[in-house]
Amino acid sequence: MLLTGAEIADEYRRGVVSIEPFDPAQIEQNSYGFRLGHRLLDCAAGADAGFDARQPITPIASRRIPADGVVLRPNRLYLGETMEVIGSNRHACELYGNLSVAALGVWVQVSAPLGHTGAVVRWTLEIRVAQAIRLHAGMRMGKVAFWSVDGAVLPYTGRYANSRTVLQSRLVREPAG
Amino acid sequence: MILSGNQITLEQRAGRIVIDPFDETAVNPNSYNFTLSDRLVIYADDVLDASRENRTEELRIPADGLRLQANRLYLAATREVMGSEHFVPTFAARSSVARLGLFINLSAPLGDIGFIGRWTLQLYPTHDVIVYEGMQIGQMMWWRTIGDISLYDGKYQHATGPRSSMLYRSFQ
Repeated sequence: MLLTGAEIADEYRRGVVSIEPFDPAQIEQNSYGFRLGHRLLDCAAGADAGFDARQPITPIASRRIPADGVVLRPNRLYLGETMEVIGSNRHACELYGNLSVAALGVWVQVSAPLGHTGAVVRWTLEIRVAQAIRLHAGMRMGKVAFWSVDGAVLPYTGRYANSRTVLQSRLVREPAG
Repeated sequence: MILSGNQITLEQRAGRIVIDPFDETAVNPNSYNFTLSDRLVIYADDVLDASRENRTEELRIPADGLRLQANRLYLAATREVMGSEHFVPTFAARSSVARLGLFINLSAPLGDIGFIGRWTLQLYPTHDVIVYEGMQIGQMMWWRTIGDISLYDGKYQHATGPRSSMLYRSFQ
C-alpha cells in the first residue's frame, strides 16, 4: 500500500523514512516533492559516438548548474540528481516527475522508477527533454512515493548504495554474460 | 494494493471514485480505460523556461483525426472527470497505444489523492501518429493507502482541459 503524506511525515519522525534535508512544505498528498540538485552530467559529447553497455560514457561533462539555470536540448541524455538524500530501510520507493515538470516535456527518469528498500541515496535522475528548456537548480522536480513491503526485507547492497552525488551507469562492473 | 476492475465499479457507484461519464464496458481487470478529448495545447516558443510562464497555442482534433508529429510534445486531456478522495490514482497508456510508440505521460504517472478533474496527458509520439477524439488512450488505476489522508487542493484542481505547466508560480 502507498503511504499518504501524513504517514511519510510520521515515518520520517520515527526514523523509518530518511529525507535530508526535510521540509514539511514538500510533503504532498501521497509523496514527497524533491528538488533538482546542482550537479549535472552532460552525456552529449559521448552520445555522438554511441554508448557501450560495457564501458563508461566518455567524454562526460560534469557541471554545476549556474544561477541562471541551464538549457537542456532534445535527443540528449543528461544525468541529474535530487537535492535531497531519500530512502527507507523498511519501505520501497518510486521516483516520478510531477505534472508541472512533465507538462514542460521533461522526463526525470527513463523507465526506471524503483528505489530499493535500504537504498538511502541522492537519486540520480535520467533527464530527457521533448523540447529545449531552461531548468534551474532547486526547482521542484518530481516526487518520491513510498510503498509498504510484504515479506522479509533484504537490505540493498548494490553498486549505488550510499551514493551522494550523480553517478553514471556502473553496468560496466557486471560480469560479461 | 491495487483495486480490481470490479472494485473500481463498486467504488464509482458508491461515490468514492469519480469517473464521469462512466462506461461499464471500459472497466478492465485492474483499471479503467479513459478517452481522449479533442483539445490539445502546444508550446509556442522554441526554448521553454521552467521559471517563466511559457506561451501556448490551442489545437483541436478534427473528426477525421489529427496527425501528431514524431518527437513533439502535445498536452492533451481526458474527456472523463476522474479522481478520488479515498484512493491514489496512477495512469498509464493502454498497451495498444504504447505499441504505436506513443507516450501519454513523461515519467509522471502518479496523481494526488483528492485531485478531481480532467487529467492532463503528455502526448509524445516516437513516430508520426494519427489520434482521434474519444479513442480509449489510457487507463487509470487506483491504490489503497496507509495513513491519514489530506486532500489535494493545488493549482490544477478541477481542471477542465489540458493544462500547461504552472511551475513558474513557485518561482514568484
